Amino acid sequence: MLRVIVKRLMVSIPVLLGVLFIGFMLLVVVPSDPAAIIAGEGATPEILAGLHHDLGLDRPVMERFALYIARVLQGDLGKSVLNRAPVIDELLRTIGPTAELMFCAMLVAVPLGIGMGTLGAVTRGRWIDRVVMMVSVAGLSMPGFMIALLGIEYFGLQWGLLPFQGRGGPLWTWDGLAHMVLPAVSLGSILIGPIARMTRTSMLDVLGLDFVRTARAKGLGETRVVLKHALRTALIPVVTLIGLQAGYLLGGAVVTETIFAWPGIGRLAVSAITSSDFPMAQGTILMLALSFIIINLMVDLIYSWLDPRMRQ
Amino acid sequence: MNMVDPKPTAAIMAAESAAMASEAAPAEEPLLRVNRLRTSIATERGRMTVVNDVSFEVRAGRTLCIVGESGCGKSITSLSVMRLLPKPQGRIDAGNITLLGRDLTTLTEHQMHAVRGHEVSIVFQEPMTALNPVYTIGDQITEALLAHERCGRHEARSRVIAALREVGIPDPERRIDTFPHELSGGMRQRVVIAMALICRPKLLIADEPTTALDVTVQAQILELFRQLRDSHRMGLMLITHDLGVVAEMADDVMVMYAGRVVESGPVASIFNNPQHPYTIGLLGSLPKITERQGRLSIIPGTVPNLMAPPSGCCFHPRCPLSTERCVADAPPLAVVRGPHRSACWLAPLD
Amino acid sequence: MTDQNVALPALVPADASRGRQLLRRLLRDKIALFMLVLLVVIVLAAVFAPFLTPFDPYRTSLRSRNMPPDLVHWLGTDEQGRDLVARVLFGIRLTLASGFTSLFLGGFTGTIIGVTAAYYKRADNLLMRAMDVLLSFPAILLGLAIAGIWGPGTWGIIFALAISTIPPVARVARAAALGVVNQDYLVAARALGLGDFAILHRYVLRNCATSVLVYVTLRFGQVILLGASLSFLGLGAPPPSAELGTMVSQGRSLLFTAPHVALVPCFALFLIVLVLNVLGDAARDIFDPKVQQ
Repeated sequence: MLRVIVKRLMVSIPVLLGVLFIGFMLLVVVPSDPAAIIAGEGATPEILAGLHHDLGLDRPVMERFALYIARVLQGDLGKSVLNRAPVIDELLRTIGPTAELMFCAMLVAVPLGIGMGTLGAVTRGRWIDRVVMMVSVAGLSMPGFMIALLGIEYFGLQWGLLPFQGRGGPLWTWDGLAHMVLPAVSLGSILIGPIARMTRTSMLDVLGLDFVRTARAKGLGETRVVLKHALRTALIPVVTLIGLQAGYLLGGAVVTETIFAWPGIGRLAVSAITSSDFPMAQGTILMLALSFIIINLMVDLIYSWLDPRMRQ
Repeated sequence: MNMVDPKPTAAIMAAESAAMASEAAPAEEPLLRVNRLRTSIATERGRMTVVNDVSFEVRAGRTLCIVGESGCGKSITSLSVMRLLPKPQGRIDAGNITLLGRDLTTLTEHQMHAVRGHEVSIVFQEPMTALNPVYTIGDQITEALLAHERCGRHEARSRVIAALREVGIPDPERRIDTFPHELSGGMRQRVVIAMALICRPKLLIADEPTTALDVTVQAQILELFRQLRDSHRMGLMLITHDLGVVAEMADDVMVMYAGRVVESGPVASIFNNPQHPYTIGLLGSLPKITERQGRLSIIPGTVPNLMAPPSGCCFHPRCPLSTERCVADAPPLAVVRGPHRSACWLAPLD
Repeated sequence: MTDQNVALPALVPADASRGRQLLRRLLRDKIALFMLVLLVVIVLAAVFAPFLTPFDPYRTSLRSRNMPPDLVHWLGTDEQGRDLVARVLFGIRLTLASGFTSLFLGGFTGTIIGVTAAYYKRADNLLMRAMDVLLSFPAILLGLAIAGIWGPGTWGIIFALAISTIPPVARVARAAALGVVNQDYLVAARALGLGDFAILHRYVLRNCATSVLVYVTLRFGQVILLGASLSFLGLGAPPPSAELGTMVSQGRSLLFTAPHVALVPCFALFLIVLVLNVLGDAARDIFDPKVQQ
């Protein structure tokens, strides 16, 4: 188990360096001069030069990259250009709601997707299977914001059933739960289609394998054969898919948070970039990339739990 | 037509007396009686009859070997008995499969659950893939036990350990908690056998159980089958294309070709006095038991396409003795002598 | 014995050429065929958009703002009184064009990288590790980063989508190329003195083409959705432009009064991507069942 983690972390190092470089680029190659933004309009060249020196902008690029990495490793990601708040504080404040949202979305998507895919495989070729396939292709083809907007339009505005602005507090309170429903369902819905399709394909493969025949030959009922023997093996490629789709999930989270004014890191990233708050933008990108790596780490752990052959 | 040889060899005499003994002693009902079974498989290009008019019996404590080249319908016959034909392509079109007095073809799928693994078990060819990689072998055997019998956790565990010991797995107390990938092919096949036997079935079907294994392991597994058959008075239906295995194990032999039975009878009679040109071809290509190259390719030509079987006798395109009658009409499976039957117009061949 | 008979397909004559067989299979798949017709209609509508509608997608009209669909404006008008049929047609045009461009750029670069990795063993490890790293960047992060560096714009989105297309295409191309590189006829070709470039061009690239094309077709829908998400987030061309994602984002605030302003471009996106996805699946089933999504 430990070796799985260590291996994954080793693979992640080049990725992290790449992300750091992009973050650094955001601060260096940006078209606008941060010093000019800080100093405001009408600053004299002397003030600007002083600021350049203070910010370390007059040193060689590689040196600045090394300094930048050193700073990041100490948790110093700079200050927001807009309100001078330390970036790291903002990140820590927003990562919780994002994690919560993604978790709830998975809670919606994973059981539904796996259930649909299994149902499709078992009823292969019959009308239930056709319906499952149609629903998953439709789900796969919907823009991430479409379910969100339809949800807001009907459940929020027309029927007034659910709130759709912001977070209502902790999940265990009624208000918190109500605020979570629409965002979690919208975000989860983009993953249902891929998961259902992958489960179906993989299940069809597994149902043709020898050990499934062995299980039937033991005299097990079909339900037990499918749910105990086939499903667990069939889930292995599904878990891989979820790992591969983690980027998709992150992207969806960014969109969903923006739509529902969810106080998460995705919304922070978009507003930082559209308002040219570069220190904040690089911080959010670093954090999003880090969560991508963490999701994949978790996927690897689930993987080795599902497949004992991976544990060695 | 040739006259029957007036001076049968000693071997045939021995075979006949053995056959008579077995005929005379138990007048009991056979464990399994398959009567005029016909099974077909749907393919991309239409429905194909892969088992045609096949009848045979398996008695308690005896071994029936079904022999033939790949694609002759051996495995489909065994899957038909288990009612485990590939779904939805496979179908039993006609015939009866009577196990312990009950016709399996009339049972519902649900009723079959109680039969599989309990009254009849099957061991497949590939031990490497026959076990589920994600559960321990103990889990998988226990599951087979609990599917048919009620017993507590501790009792189940000790019975599984006993079953593992019975099939010759060393250190079963520890092995019970290992995963299949931690065991060798031979060990896995032993696990599969233990799983098949945990509920003491009356009949065991083994579909090429040793083909994928090393020669030494092969001999051990066959020996294990023989012991278990004798100690539990179990009927054994052994499917193989390896005549060495047949010589070692069989009481009775059934030779299949293109989905039909071409010859059947007691093993000694078939080996010493084969009554079908196909069997003669197979015996001519008998490999030594130590060389594991079971493929029987010395008969010229290949197995016919079952979508468009040849006219008359299916074997006539490859048969050195083929006559006009063979091309025109299919020969029935007719008695040659005692229990020995052959589907050849020229039988008895002497 | 229950018999769930599988539908038995018509017998394929033994002499049917491969092309005719493919056509036959496509014709048998009624849904895919319907989608193909729909795609042709959509593409034609996008190409001839200026001639199909009397309205200018950018002309505002304060008198006819947020009008629901009627006989004049079939899909209604937006908050500036612009006709939505015109805007959606122009949006589809932009969407298809930018999706195609990014797939072309990414597919081209990815194929070159994949084939190079397969052909030159020494470069293999380095190139494919680099692809792994790139693959670990979610497309949305690339989009955010590029928009951060360059500022919002359609080309930024195209660029981000192209980059995110490179690693998977490189993998597909490498796998397909490896199947060819070790064949005897390549050794023979080399022995005949054919140069690397000629060999790559004549044998290797041609063998990768099917796999790469099938993969790219499968990816088309996803690329469009990603692009729409990015422009929805405001990272695409600024508001007046008829980008479908941007239009949805603009219409979002009008959900209560005029839901059609946001929902019409939403459904347009859904329709295009659905058509592309179904066709991508059909293409995979017909040409290259091995390529997974």
